[in-house]
Amino acid sequence: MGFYIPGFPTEVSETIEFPDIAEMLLHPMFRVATPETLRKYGTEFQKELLDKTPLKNNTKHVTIWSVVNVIDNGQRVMTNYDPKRSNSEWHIDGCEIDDAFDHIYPIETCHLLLSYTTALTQFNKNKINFTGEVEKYNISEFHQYLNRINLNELITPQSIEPNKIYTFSNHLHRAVPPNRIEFRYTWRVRETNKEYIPKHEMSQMIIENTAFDIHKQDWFSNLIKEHHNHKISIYFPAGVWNYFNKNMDVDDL
Amino acid sequence: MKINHTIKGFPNQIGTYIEFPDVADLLLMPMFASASVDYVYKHGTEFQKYLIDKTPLTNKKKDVIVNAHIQFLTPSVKASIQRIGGYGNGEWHIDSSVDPFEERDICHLITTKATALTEFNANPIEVELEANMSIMDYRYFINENEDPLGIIPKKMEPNKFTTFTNHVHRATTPQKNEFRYFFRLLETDSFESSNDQIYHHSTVFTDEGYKKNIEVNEGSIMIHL
Repeated sequence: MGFYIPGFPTEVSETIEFPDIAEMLLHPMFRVATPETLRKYGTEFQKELLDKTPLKNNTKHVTIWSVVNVIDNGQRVMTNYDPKRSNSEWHIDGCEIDDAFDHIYPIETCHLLLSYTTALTQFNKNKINFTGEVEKYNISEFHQYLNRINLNELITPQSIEPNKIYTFSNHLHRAVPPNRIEFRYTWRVRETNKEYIPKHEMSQMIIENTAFDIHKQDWFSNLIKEHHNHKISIYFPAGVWNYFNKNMDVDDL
Repeated sequence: MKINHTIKGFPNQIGTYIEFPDVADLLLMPMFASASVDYVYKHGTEFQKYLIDKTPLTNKKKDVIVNAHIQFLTPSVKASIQRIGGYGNGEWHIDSSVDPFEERDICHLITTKATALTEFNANPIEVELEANMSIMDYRYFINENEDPLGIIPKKMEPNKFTTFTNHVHRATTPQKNEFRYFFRLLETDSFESSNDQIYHHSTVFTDEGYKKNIEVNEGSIMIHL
């Protein structure tokens, strides 16, 4: 009998033209926001992105993530990962409940778009069949199993293209940190029955976002907007001053 | 006494297209104001040194002065010169010369792609002017007679060095929100590098005047909107 995990997502939008990153920095940021909140407070461009997202409308909730980050080598935007431990770099989304079987019977749908970045999310290219004992594993056990076996023999990574919306469900994928300092815009719409959505609409919008540093194994404040002071601050975990000091003698400053 | 003078046309753009790093990287680079080229070569990033190496220097002057910074431009600001009308303060101007008829300093300018690119007069224009005209009189004359003279604005190309001397030029107003990286080397006999060669914020000009733009603090970059 067995089951299979699908290959590279086939439902892909046309290329979407993006504004300058300076413009996107001024747009409000949303995290676990409802479509109603986005339509009320979002920019015209963000509403257009929502219009272009091919919603299935077959779950209880639709949540939206729309943020700009600035990340460097070894930094991630949405997921943490410890390369020293066997937690799942390759994973399937929609799995807050450990004993669920979403990897075999997917319920959730995700719609993902990345822009400006050179390091794009990778999906497994070809369909993979699983048979035997693995058929009994729940999602948590399945992720542990994936990290026990030699994934290189099973998986051929294929990157998504920027500025396109990819629709997927139980597709294996992983985040890719960049090899340089760069901006990254993330648009993710999740159709789910499980996610916690803040009741107050203003709590669905954020003025501060975070990124995860693999080396420090910690989240850090990445970008903060001070609306009242008309300022945007960008933070780097190593500190800009350290970067400066690579080039500067202290006496020169 | 009157003399025949040519208002120069569009300057040479020398060299190849230069690829710039991501804006996030440019934001982290030290900013320099009237710094000596040696100072920038010592304290600049690899990319800033690469830009110096790519500059089509003539080596005809005593000093080379560097200005380098990044700006966050919006339609309400102007990048590099105050847009206040009136005597000697019009938009068209020539840089760093005492005598408008003399080619003193040699300027090499490169910026990233933006809607706010410097404009130069497109074609040479022959005029008869007073020989003792001051630089302020010259600016006033150009700005007051832009149409009769037939000054045609032409934007410089981004990502390429533009080399000019006493060419008439002006800053332009951004058409959208955009970052712009500005790198200028001045070959000069008349200017010296400043004491504070590195600085921690760039500036823009609005109708209200000078405004702090991108500021480097300990551990963060702050964009003043």
